[in-house]
Amino acid sequence: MAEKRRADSVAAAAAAAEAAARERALASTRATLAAAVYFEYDSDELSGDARSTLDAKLPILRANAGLRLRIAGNTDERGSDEYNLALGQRRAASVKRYLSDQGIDSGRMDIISYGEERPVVTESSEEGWRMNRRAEFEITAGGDALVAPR
Amino acid sequence: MPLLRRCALSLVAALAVLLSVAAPARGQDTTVAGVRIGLVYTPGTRPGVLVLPVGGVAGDSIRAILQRDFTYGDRINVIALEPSAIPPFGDGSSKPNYPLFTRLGAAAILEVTPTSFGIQVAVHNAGKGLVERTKAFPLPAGTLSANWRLALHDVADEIELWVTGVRGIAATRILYVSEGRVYQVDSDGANPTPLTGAATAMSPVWNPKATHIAYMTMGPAGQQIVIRESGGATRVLPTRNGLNMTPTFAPDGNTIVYAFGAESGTDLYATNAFGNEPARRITVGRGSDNTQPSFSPDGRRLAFTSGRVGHPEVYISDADGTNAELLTPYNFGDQSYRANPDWSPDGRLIAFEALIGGRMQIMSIGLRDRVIKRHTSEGVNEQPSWAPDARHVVFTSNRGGTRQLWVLDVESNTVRQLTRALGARFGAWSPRSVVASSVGPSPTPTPPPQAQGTCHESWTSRTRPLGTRPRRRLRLPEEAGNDVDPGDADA
Repeated sequence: MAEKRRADSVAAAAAAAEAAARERALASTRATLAAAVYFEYDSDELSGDARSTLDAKLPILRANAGLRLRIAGNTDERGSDEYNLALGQRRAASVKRYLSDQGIDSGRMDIISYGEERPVVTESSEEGWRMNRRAEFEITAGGDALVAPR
Repeated sequence: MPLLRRCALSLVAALAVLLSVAAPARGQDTTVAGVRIGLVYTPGTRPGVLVLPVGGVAGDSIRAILQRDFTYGDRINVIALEPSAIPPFGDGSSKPNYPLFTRLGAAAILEVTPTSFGIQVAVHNAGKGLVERTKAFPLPAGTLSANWRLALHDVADEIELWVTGVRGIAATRILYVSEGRVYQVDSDGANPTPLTGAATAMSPVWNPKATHIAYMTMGPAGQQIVIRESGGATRVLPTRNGLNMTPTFAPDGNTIVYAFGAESGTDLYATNAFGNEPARRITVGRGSDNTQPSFSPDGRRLAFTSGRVGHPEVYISDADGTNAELLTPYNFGDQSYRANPDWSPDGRLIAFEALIGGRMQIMSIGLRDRVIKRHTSEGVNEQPSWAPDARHVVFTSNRGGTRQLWVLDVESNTVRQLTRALGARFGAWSPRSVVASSVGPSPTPTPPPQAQGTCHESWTSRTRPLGTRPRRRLRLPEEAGNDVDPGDADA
């Protein structure tokens, strides 16, 4: 009896540990999926860092065929408010094109631009501007069934 | 001397002096409303107008509004005396002491009398010692209401036409965006009124008759263009999903041009604002961003922002997108950024914004000579939009701490603050016809200045040194014809 209880307890602990590990993996997966990519001033070119960030998303997108993403392009506050909408659109399109070139079905990705309208940092500084020149990722479908890639 | 020849000589002299004084005035700027930098406008360079105290319950308001309109018009020097300091003008039984008023600097004396349906206005020519014009103006019921004020602004505009030869711009309104809502405000800053609900509006514009506005809002699948009647009914322009922005109406009133972007750059498209036919592409940007279209007054040319050389510059093209040429020159290697063109209503200038020392500033470029002038220097200044007089520009500035609309007189580079909102941007100045759409048919349709056959030199010769500034009404017919044909100037 005592042995069975101990075995149950060990199994429960193992299951809990496994669940926790799965949760951590999922959280990490979500974080990897959501990780923003950053751009130079008035540019939609993907830097080496940006490509690495996007490459890390590829196994997740391949492991979750039902996953759909919205890629949102953003800019810093400098320049024309309206032209920045176009620049944000170009950044989002640049990200989508890269992922598509890596074999991700382009039908799974929508793009939108918020220009300079949704800054993450409101401070007018080089660092603030750098943080705002970004493309963000939002899961629009398939998020509930998300699995970490093996 | 024949009238035309006399006017022409005045114009030549005026142009000569203008050229000699305009250059030092560049870059002048002040944040204090009403304080001028006197290189162009030394006292006495504009006709002095003294508004006599006005009787009736609204008399003080009428006098204050008229005086403020004249001041904001920048073409009249208001002799702003307290009523107690104004000499007796006479009671009609004897001739007023005109020389006394001339010594006070008044070229014109304005006598306003309330009537049962509005006001009676008499304009005295102090130099000649006679009544130059009289006219009865109806005013709508509701003293100090928005429509009443607009009608009084229209009176001010007509008086300004009589005195200076150029109709004023007081009876106009300006659109802007605050907290995501489109507002309109009177040209003197009164009556800020929201036109749309809480949203994510940007880039409002008027149609040529001020019966409709268009603007952009954020939709679920990108940005949409909304057209709103003055009565409030709205329609979403049937566009493709993606970035649809920066609408502008063509002078024909039916065509709307906007920028559409999806995955291969942003280009300009044209369509019928009130139809459902597919839009046709105008620009061939090849992956670059082409936005912010602005028509020439004749509708034959288009100015727009394009990043086709790698950074934003202002281009002009034919209305169908052909014959595109770079308007704003740049030096290779510069971190150049020029955007937001707005074609002046007289066709002569294009206002735009340029990045100078890391900050946007309001600039203008002449279509004929391609001379670029800088108009602001304090803070970040952007989004210029011309007033119908082709002399004033509303723009967005953060010089006061928050983004607000300011009004610039491009001839003197003086500024005044227009809005005091929770942040304001995207100013768009209405055409003059805002009167007709807001308070019914204009009671006093006025012919354009050049259609009148008189030269008003005698009005200003006592108070304005010869040739300080050419007045638009003195243009010769053949020159006026060139105003609306910048395309010829580009050839």
